[in-house]
Amino acid sequence: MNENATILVLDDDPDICTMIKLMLEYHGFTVYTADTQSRMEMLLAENKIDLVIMDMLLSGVNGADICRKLKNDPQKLSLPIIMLSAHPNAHEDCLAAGADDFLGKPFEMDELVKKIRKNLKKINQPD
Amino acid sequence: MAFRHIQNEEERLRFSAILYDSIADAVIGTDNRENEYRIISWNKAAEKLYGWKADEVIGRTTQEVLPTNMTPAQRQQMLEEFERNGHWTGEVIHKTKNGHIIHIQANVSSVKNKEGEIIGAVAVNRDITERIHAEEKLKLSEEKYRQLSESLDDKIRLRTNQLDDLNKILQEKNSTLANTQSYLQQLIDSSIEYVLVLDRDLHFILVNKRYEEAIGINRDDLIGKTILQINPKAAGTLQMDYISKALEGETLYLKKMRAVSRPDIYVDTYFVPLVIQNKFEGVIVMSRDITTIVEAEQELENRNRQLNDAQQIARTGSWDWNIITGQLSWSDNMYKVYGLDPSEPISFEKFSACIHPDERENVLKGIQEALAGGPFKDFYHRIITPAGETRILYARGETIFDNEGKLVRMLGTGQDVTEQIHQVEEIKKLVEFDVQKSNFIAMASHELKTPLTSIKGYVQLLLDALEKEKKEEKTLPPLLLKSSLKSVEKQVNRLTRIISELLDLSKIETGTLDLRKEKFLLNQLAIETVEDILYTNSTHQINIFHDAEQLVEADKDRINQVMINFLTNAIKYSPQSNKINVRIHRDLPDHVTFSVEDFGIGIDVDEQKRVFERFYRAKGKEEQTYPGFGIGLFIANEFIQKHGGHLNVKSEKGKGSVFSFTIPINTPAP
Repeated sequence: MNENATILVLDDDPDICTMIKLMLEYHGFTVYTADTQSRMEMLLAENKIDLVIMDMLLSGVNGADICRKLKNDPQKLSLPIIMLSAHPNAHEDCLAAGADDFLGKPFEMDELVKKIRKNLKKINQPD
Repeated sequence: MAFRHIQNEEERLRFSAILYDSIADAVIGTDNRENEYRIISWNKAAEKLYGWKADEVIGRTTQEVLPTNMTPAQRQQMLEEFERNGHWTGEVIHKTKNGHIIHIQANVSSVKNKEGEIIGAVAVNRDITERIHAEEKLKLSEEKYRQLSESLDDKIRLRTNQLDDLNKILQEKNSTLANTQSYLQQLIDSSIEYVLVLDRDLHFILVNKRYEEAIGINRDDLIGKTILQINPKAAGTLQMDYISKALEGETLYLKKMRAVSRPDIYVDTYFVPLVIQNKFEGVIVMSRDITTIVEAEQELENRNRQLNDAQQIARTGSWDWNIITGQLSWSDNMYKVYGLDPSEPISFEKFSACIHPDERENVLKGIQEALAGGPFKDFYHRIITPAGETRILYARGETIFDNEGKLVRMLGTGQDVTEQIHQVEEIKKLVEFDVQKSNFIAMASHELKTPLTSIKGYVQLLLDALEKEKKEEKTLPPLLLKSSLKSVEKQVNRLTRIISELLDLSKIETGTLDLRKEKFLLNQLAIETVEDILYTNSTHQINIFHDAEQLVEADKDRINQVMINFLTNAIKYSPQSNKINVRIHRDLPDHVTFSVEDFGIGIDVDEQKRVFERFYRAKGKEEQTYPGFGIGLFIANEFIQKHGGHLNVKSEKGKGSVFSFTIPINTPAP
């Protein structure tokens, strides 16, 4: 499978970044973390990223806007984005911003891994 | 006795003479000499008829003795006829010796000689006077009869004609009368008024359809009955009083009364005496239904009252400005709205003086535009009442032009909307507060879930790793274990802090916030707090400036909370900067100030006032949002106020902010 796929995690809470990184590495993924938009953009430019996990609410920036920006970029269009949020009303906003999937915080680790695999599969086996 | 024949001339003459005298008619012989007929013989009958003796008339002319009624022309005609024919017969009128008029039937024969010349004449005249008289009498009586008969005829005819005419007139009159009656009935039936005619004893003589319909009784059932039989309630009413007066010959008018038989109908009523042959024989009562008018009036009155009430309730006054005379008049409510004394008439100058100085120019400009023929544009403006109260008014107006398009009048209303505006502001605040509150709940759940996410994540990771370790006998990396547990502890602390903030908020709201005061060195607390912050945050360099060293008596935990709040905000809102300055200084003898300076996004002047409000969170560029409760500064403000101090903010958008608190020392300086 894609257990060696590369995943980028964007969250302004460093603890969450670390936690997700540990989780995904534990499941065999290669993980980069970013706590700002600029860091994320730098990592996207320098590495081959297969999937992005990002938080909805970031310091100074709305995660949905970053998502929308990525989905409007022809080169990043097919890059799967899973959005996370602890905000109760975030689900629809995330999907409206073009996110491929959404997961509410706090989440089950298995749930996150399942969603990552599902979205990676979609890319490799387009219907 | 034996007769013998006339034997000789003498005897013949004697016989002739006896014969001549024995004739009953007058026989007069004349001879003609030079056209005059002179009487030569005059018999006894002539004497008897005319009264003349023969010897009195012999030798005289017939003209002298027997004057006639003939005109000379008639006599000439008679003579000519006689001479031509030899005789003449005719009726003439003669006068007797004693002057009597007699009618004569004359038979005149001529006596001619051998040569045929007329030498004389013999007239036999018979008295026909009696016959003529009888004839005349008869004629007269006939005439009289005729005349009489004629006049009688005429009279009869005339009378007949008169009778005919009279009859015709009567017939016409009759039909006219019938028509008139029908017209009259139709006329009064078609009248929109209620008409009734009563006789002296108040019996109905006549009613119209509308009256029948109004009281719901057929005219056949009304006629002949008295008004009191039909409607006993009429007794003693003003209307009955007026009917009595009309029966005495007065014409009366009763305005706007409820109809006696239909109290739901308002009427104007005329009471007119019914005059027959100069006597007052009854009364004509005509009522006009004015119910709709009265109702409209009442409605109008109600509306006016309501309008007045509404004006009072709505705190609205009205004004009317006569442009021609320049006179401005205000309703009482308008004076109330302006807080002016209504006994001192308003003038444009007085009005102008009431307008708030900041808005006077604008208001006067608007009025000038309306005066120049433009529309009156409704506007809001402030006024200052003589008592010094500021009120907000909504001014509406209209311009009125004459036929030539010249502005003659301006009128309108002024409404005191101060309360409404304040209420609207209150509502706005409430709505905003509501939005903030629901945002707060969302943020609270977000804030609580974020550390829970970390905790849950690490715990799952550890459980999973432990599971795997058991199965595959693979040891858990010690680094993972340690860092995970450290993170869990940190997030638990974070949760504890959030929960204690929520508790503080609840205490503030219920007024049960109590301070636990102790003596401590503010500088020391500042150092410890900064160290704690630096322990979890490595992005910013924090410098502390101890301009003063101060021992205070205060709630150490609360003061620590405020310091943490200032510092975390400074970090949060200066992501592009890496420097924060902390300062402890004393500007007032009994007070100490702690301030945190950042070089971040800064806050608008408008927003600065609001940062201490509950649920307020600063806005970044393009509505960027920052996580957090928005209750930190609110709680900090409450804490400091509780200590008798105050919070302060100095900020410039895009350059950074300085947040500070100043509290009383409470302990004498060592």
